[in-house]
Amino acid sequence: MAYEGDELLEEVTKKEYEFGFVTDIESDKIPNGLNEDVIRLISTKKDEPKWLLDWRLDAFKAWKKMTEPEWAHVNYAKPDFQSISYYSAPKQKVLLDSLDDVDPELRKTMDKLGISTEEQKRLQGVAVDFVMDSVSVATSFKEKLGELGIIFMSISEAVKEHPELVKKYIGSVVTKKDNFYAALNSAVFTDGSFCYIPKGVKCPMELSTYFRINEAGTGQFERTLLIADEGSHVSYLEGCTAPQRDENQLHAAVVELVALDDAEIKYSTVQNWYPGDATGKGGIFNFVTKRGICQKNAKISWTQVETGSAVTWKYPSCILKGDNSVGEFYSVAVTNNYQQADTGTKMIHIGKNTKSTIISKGISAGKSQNSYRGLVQINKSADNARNFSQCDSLLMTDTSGAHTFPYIEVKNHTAKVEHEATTSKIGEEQLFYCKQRGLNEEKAISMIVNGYAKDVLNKLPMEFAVEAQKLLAISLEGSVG
Amino acid sequence: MSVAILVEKKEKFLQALEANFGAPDLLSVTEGLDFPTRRAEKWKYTRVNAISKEAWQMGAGVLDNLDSYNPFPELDAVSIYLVNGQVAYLSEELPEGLTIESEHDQEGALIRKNIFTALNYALNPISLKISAAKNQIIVKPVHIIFVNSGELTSAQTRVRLVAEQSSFLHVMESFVSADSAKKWVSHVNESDVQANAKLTISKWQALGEKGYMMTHEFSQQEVDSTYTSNVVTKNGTWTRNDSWSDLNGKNGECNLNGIYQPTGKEHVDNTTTVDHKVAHCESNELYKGVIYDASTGVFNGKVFVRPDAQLTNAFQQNSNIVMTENGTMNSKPELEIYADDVKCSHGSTTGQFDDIALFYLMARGIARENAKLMLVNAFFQEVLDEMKVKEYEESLIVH
Repeated sequence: MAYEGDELLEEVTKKEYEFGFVTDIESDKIPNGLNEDVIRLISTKKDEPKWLLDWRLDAFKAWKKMTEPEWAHVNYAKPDFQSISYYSAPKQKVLLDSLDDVDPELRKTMDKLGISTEEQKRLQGVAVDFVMDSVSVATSFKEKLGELGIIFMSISEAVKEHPELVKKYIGSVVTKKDNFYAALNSAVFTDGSFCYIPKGVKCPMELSTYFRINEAGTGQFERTLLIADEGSHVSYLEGCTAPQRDENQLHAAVVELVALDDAEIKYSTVQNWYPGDATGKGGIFNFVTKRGICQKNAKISWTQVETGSAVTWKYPSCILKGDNSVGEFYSVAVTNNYQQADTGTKMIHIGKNTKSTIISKGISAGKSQNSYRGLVQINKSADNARNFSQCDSLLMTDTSGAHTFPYIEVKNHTAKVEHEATTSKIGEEQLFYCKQRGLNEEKAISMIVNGYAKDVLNKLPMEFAVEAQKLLAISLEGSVG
Repeated sequence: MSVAILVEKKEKFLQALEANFGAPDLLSVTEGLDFPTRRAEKWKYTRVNAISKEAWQMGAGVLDNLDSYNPFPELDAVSIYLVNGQVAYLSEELPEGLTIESEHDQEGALIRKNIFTALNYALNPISLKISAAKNQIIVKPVHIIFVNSGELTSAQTRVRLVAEQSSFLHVMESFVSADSAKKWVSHVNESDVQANAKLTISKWQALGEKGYMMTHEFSQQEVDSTYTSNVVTKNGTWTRNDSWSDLNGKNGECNLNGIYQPTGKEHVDNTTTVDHKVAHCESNELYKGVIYDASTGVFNGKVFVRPDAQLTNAFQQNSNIVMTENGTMNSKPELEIYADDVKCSHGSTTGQFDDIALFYLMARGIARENAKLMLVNAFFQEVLDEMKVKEYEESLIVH
């Protein structure tokens, strides 16, 4: 994209985290602490059926027996699970049909986050589900989608309106006992998005969810369930921001994607949770489980731009169960100051002729640590499976770290698996070249980094690509010293 | 497995060793060190159960016809024979500048590295020390042949190598079996490569059926030095090669090369750690394997670049061919980098036999089996070129 004049310069010199405001909305927050009663309370507040409550309690039981994983290459003070409030919702009772009906304060928040209805109109329609403090507050374009039979709503609504679909698929990809944080999420999740694309339907617009943690002392636990029925096609966007606070807040989400035969899901994330200040104080702990399952000829593509969070621990994965299914993972992860990221993917090849591609670009600046951790597993049944992985790391300072931990497990002799990784510094010659042509250092760096990350940025839908490029520039502001 | 069972298992294992080796209190020697489980990152793909369940004993230190066990009889070398871990023969004429001595030692970098290295020191207090004096080029390689025999015997051996300033030394270690009884060999190398010295260790592992082999290799290098470690795993039921290479002086070069070709149900694991502690060093790793039958190969490489180790060049390559549908290859090439002005790369490939290449050769009148052989030879040739050990080439390349 072309920037006019000093627009970019102005943006990169904006020192502070741009989304660090707090919206003053009355909210309904339950006391801190976690026990069975809290789970019952959440379930009652959400007016849930009994099977879901039982499911939650079962997950909670399993969670109590689990220990927090320590294998990731990150250091942080473990969250105290009893000092978190597990439910906070903007006090709002009426269900809304369009964004126009939303509380003016909330509207302001959305406008600040750049998801105003005007902008949507300009971009020719992106349906947005806005989740604030774990509760979905507004879903736009519901009617238009409804005409095609597409269901796009908050998961708590879906539990009421389409219980058969939720019951069938929830926990089918990420089981409630999958891991420590997935179990916690299963026990206490408060809301999230639900989406179902019927057979043969190509979703005409991008679907989008915006997550926002607003209230202090809360954790956000949302659950996204996306089902693409046979032959359907959908592109889904996810964005997230949080206010600036001194404390660390926990975000433990679960995303499940189900791509049935011949379906295609493209899932894009721009993760911009508050990363903490320049001294490493505050910021979000982002411990997320994302996984998709592909049936025959299906395709799941994960694209992520990770610039936020104090600590990120996230591996969007694909289970390539059906024959000829395809999994893709494109990622740019930027860490600055004291941020730590341990991110990557898992590609589990089960079906025949399955293919996966992994492109991961890490950029480390400040005193941050950025790790790629990825698993490529070719099972015995996966004849002619093919994987290509490329992980590049760019180091901006001599105080940051870039690490690569690939796991390659091959149990089938017809498979072809390739992995390559490089680590290097930002080229002084490239910088010099740009500066010589009249670009200042910040702009030159932003240009080089954008070029470096182009393979991934190109995979993003247009609206997100614009945002992602700006984010990259802002995140790396002042990072070369 | 619960903690209580693990503790009980360890105690039982150690009691047998104490009784059979006449070793002192092994429980206190191995305090805090336990059998690795698959939860440990470095042991994710390799189990030690086949070793930890047995009651091992010391083998007899004598054997007839020692020469017949030498895998490279033509090699002009200073020969040493060890039978079940005890020195049985040492050539008397040593070239100038070379010293070989047995030394009582209880200090070393690996002494508390893991339960197996700790046991190595405790069960065998004597190590073989081989040194090349300052400015001496030892042209003849030193060839140590470790012969192992007897049911449930265990050899705990240790070789210390010192290449003094500006010296050159090549030590070859061959591990062979005299019979097909179940045996466990645990071998430690600790090497000092001083300024401007060149040291090469080449290992030939051929313990065959029921052979359980572990090597633990540690090297530390000073300025301008070169350390090369070559490992060929010819055969053996279970093999684990662990190495830790520290680059402590500028302009050091560390080369690690490996070849493995497991067949049957064999398991071969090469785990390496290269630690770039200072600036201006280079490390090269090249490991290639062909996995036959229902065997398993593991490569777990780690390159560590410390914050001050600027201008580091680190390369790591692991290539594998899985020949059959039951073969498994697990590869984990890792980079952990804390300095910014570095060139580091790693690559890992696992694939099947190249059918197009095979077809090309067969179309030119070469029988399928011969064509396959040619391709495997070509695949390994790259590593053999790095190793520069003629004997290995002759033994591996089948015509």
